[in-house]
Amino acid sequence: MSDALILYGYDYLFFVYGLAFVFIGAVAVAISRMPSDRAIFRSLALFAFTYGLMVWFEMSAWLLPKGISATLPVVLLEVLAFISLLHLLRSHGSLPLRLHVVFMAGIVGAAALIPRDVVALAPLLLGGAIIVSAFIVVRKIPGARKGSGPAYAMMILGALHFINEEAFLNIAHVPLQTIQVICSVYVLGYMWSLYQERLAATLGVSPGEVHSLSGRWVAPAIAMILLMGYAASNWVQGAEDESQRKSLLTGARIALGGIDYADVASLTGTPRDLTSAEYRRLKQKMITLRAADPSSRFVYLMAYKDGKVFFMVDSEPPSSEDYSPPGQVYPDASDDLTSMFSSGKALVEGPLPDDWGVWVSALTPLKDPETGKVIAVLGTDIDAANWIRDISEHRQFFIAITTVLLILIISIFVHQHRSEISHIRVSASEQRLRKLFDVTYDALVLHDLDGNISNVNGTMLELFGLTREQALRLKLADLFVPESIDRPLNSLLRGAMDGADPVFEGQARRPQDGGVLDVMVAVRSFSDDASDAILTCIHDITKRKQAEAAKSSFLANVSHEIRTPMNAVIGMSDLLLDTKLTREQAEYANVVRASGEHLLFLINDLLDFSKIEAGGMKLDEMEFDLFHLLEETIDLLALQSHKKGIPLVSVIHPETPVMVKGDPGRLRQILLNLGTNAVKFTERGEITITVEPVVTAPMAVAARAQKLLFTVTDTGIGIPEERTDELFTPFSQADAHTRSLYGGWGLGLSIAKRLTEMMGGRIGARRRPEGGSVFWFDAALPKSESALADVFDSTDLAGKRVLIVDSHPVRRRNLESALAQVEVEFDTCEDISRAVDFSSKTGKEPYHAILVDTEAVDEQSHNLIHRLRSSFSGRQTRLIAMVMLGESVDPRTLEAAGYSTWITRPVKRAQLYNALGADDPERKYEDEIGGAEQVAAPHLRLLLVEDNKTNQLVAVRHLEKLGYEVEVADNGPDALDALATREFSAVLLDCQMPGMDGFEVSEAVRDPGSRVLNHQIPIIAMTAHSADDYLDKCLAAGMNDFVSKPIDKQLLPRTLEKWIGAVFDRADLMERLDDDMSLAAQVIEVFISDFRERMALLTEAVKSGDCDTARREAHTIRGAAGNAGAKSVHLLAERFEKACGDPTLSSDDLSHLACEMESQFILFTESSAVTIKSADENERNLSAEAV
Amino acid sequence: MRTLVIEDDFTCRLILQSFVNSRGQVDVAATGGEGVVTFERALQKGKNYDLILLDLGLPGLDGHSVLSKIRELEEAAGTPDARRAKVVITTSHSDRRHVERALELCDAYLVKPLSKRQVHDQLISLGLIEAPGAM
Repeated sequence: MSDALILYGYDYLFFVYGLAFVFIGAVAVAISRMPSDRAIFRSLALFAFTYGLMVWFEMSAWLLPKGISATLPVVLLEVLAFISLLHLLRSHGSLPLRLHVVFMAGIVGAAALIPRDVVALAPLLLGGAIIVSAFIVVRKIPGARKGSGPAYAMMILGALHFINEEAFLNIAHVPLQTIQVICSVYVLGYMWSLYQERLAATLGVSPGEVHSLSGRWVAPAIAMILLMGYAASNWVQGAEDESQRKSLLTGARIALGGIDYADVASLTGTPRDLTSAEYRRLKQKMITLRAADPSSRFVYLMAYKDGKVFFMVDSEPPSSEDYSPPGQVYPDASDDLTSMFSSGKALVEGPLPDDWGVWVSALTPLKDPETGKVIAVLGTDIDAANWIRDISEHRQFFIAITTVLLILIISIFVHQHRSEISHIRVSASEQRLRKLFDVTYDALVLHDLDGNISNVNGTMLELFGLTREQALRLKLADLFVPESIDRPLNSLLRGAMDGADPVFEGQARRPQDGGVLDVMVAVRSFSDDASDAILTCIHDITKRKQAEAAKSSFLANVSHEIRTPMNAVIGMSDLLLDTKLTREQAEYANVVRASGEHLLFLINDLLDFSKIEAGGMKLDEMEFDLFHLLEETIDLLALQSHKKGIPLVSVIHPETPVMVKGDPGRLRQILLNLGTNAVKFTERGEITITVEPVVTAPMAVAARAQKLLFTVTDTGIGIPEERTDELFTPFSQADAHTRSLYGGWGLGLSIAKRLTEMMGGRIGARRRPEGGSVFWFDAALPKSESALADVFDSTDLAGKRVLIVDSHPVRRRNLESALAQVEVEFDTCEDISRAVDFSSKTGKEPYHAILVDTEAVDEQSHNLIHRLRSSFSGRQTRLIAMVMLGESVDPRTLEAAGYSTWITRPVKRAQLYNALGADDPERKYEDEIGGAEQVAAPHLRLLLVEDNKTNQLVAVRHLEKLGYEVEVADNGPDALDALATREFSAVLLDCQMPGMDGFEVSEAVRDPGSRVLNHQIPIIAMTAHSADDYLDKCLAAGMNDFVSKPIDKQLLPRTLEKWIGAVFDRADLMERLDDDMSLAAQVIEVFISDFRERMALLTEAVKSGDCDTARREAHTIRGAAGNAGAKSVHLLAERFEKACGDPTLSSDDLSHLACEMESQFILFTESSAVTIKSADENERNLSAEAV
Repeated sequence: MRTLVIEDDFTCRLILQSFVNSRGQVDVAATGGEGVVTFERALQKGKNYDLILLDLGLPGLDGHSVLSKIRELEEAAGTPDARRAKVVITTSHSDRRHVERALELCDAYLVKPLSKRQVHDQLISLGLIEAPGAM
């Protein structure tokens, strides 16, 4: 800065300019603390600070002692500012790192190579950088007001670096700093508004709110302080100036005293004076004066003549460049100087810059003592540097004071600003929370322990249709339907206070219109030190409930749609099973049927799941045959596993009860689920299913709630230990990969879990260390109280000896336990060769049978079978093969191998006992189950009326084994309903039933006024009483016959045959016709077609009283009925024939008999229909074969 | 073996026919008269029937009359005893008295309903067919 500028007070402009940049820096720092553009504003702040400091340094250069240059720090600051600008460009992303490095290197290089020029170069470089940065960065800083204004201001600032300030001042008469100050203040204003804007965004409040902060005083305050500082510094400058001038003038006057007036008067003011002694004396005087004051530069005398001021004497030697010879005109003479010659007033001129520097001239008039006329002026030119420094020192003292004041003001402002911002922050977050409270989807209610509502949110008001005032008058209990909540509200609230955090579902009530909403409610303690408060969150789940309802109805529909064809599959396989099938076909058909049922179960899974979810699942509580269920289930699983080539073995602990109480369907479901999973996830090894009683509880408890433990062990892929819990949560499988590999919907295990829990058990899984996993569950399946009449002929087996040949230890154990249960003695061995040893060594009585696992027999040991066989020849030892279920069996091969018969594996107890008990040596491979047994009583439907479930089960089992179709009625009224709607061949009637007993039922059936379709239907009583006591009573009640309980297996079929076989004696017919099906069908068909005609004639004859014709027709019918096996018709015809000759009988009696004959005929047509149908099929097959 | 079935009931005819038709030709007659005519015609042609299954309860000419007619015709033709037809009476009367009258002239009687085994056993005992497996 040029010295002279200080004299004009321009240093103050510098101060303001620098201050503006320091402020810009401060604001940039504040902005850089906000989330966006941090790096840019940090660089900007650095630049602004360094730039401001640089300006201030330049300003303060005056204060430095002489000889110390401010150039170096200024240049350093300039370079720093430059670098920060580069950094700014880089942070903005417009300057790549590589270019950045090149720039830096260039600067350092330039500084090293041409050090002198850097001083001049630095401001220019900086100016250029400012322009570029402003162009690239500032213009694009996002903000409400466009950044282009400030960018241009910055560009102007940059451009000013290229302009010589003095030249500018001379031309524009305005100091350059004015423009700088205006521009920088403009930029500062922009930055401030940018800050406010971003602050508002950060706080999440409107910009207006930030604008309205109480910091508005600060700008005027700063302006005021600046003005005051300016005034003060100007005032001190004036004062200093005055005193400086005074002391100069004093000095000048003293010097003037030493000058001889006469000498001066003698000078002419022309070069002629050079030679005069006076001139020389005066010259000497001037030189002396100048030498006396080191700061004085020139001492001279000037005179005025003809309007011109000219030099008379000066202190310079003639050799000096600055030497002014006498008479030389002083061209720069000011008006003050000129007028001095007339006014005679001393003055200090300056400081004036001229060609030699800045000078202060003390001008004192030398007056003619007589006239007082000014004849010359003594001038002393003094270097103004010190003078200016003195002034500057005084000014800058005030500037410093101003700065201190500003700092004070700013500190106050910053403090205030900060506290206000934090206030805004708090209130904004409070507002947001309040808003959150209001807009959240949950209705929130704040209340005390008594339910007095103290605050609610907007959602609550909306949900319940209340105004705030209304809501605050209510109690919490007013909002709910009390019955819909399973616990009293009070206890829930107390629970919440104790930290229980209860959550429940229920129904809320809108107090105004009584509308009901499904809600989910969470109650939380909201207490603080001051008060006990509870926050209740009410979540509207009405829509969800509706959706759930829609979902379940959808599921119900879908499952219904799927069930319809499934029923066809199952029904048809049922029918298939009624036809003549080979054992193999029957096994397969059984599996089809069982699988169809399983598929239904799967479909039910979906329903079950939603049912369980809705809490609508109820378990059955009935007595059932656990063994039968297990064998059936294991059969299904064995078939699956066998297909994969994995053996499946089951071990049922001997103490496992046969008859238990529980839900067989659900138990089967769980077992099937675990078993199917095991099969699914096992590729090699084997699967073991075990069932055993849990022996933990004391005996008394165990008898009541007996628990059974079921485990399914596999050698499959296993499950990670930490995921075992996850397995039982819905829709999750071990991992996505497994899912894609094995399919499935992941519902099974979660259903199994819920089901076991409902059965009073637990379910779990663990990893087996040797690979694979163990799934287990236990369930309370108490042993049934009522003893089951044994379905199997086990008594025959007791004491018999059996040899087991099975390679698999678990299967062996299983067989052993099955045999032990019926008291069969047994020996076991692993393979057939040992068996031979066994049989030859043993000295005991021969084995009744030898059970041979076909897996234990290979090609080589086939001859061993023969040896085995031959070693027992002549004795009654039977070889029974155990063949894997689903394996195709060639009976001839087995027969050739010496086996008497075969059973399927996994071994079912019933099958095993039957095979062992079958003494009939003829019962071999050609046995046609189904065919042989079931067609014997083709589709005769019986109605079983029995209230006891176990008895029902037993009777049904027996009857079904005999090939009857059984419908069960639990009580008398149900039975009458069934008889009123459907045809049955006979009724098996329990005499003791609660409510309507058997006798009443029978009477109702026989009553012609009842709705029953067939009043003559055979009724067979079932009672635990002995026949002697009861038979009469039964017959009196209209019953036909009587069987005692427990049911006698021999007697029951005979009794039934007596009454039911009476309709269609198929066995007799087939025997007579030598099993010629087509002939039988033909015979039946002819009888049926003929009967109606004959019957019409007979009825006609009865009406007309034509006994002979009637008898003849009855005779014909009798014969035909006899031929066709229509036993009851035959007998009735016979009775009719006799009745015709009996004069005691009226025609009414005859027509009654005729009616009965007709109804029996109808029964016959139904019974014989199957025979005709199967004959037709046979025919078709034959003709197809023939073709 | 040639067989004549004289039976008024269709079903019975059907059954009897099917029982013996594997053993040779079977002719049927639905009435007694028809049966006698058929028998006579065959006798004239020299194609004697080996077996006659005769229903007793025929309408019109009853079984007894038919039987005696047949025997008369055989007598008249001078048929040797060995070549005389074996007559098996079929009846729905289990009452023995009912058939007693016919017993002198017939060779056997069967009570309806008839079974194949019954018929076959009877034929075996009459030496008309061989017992299966009796070598």
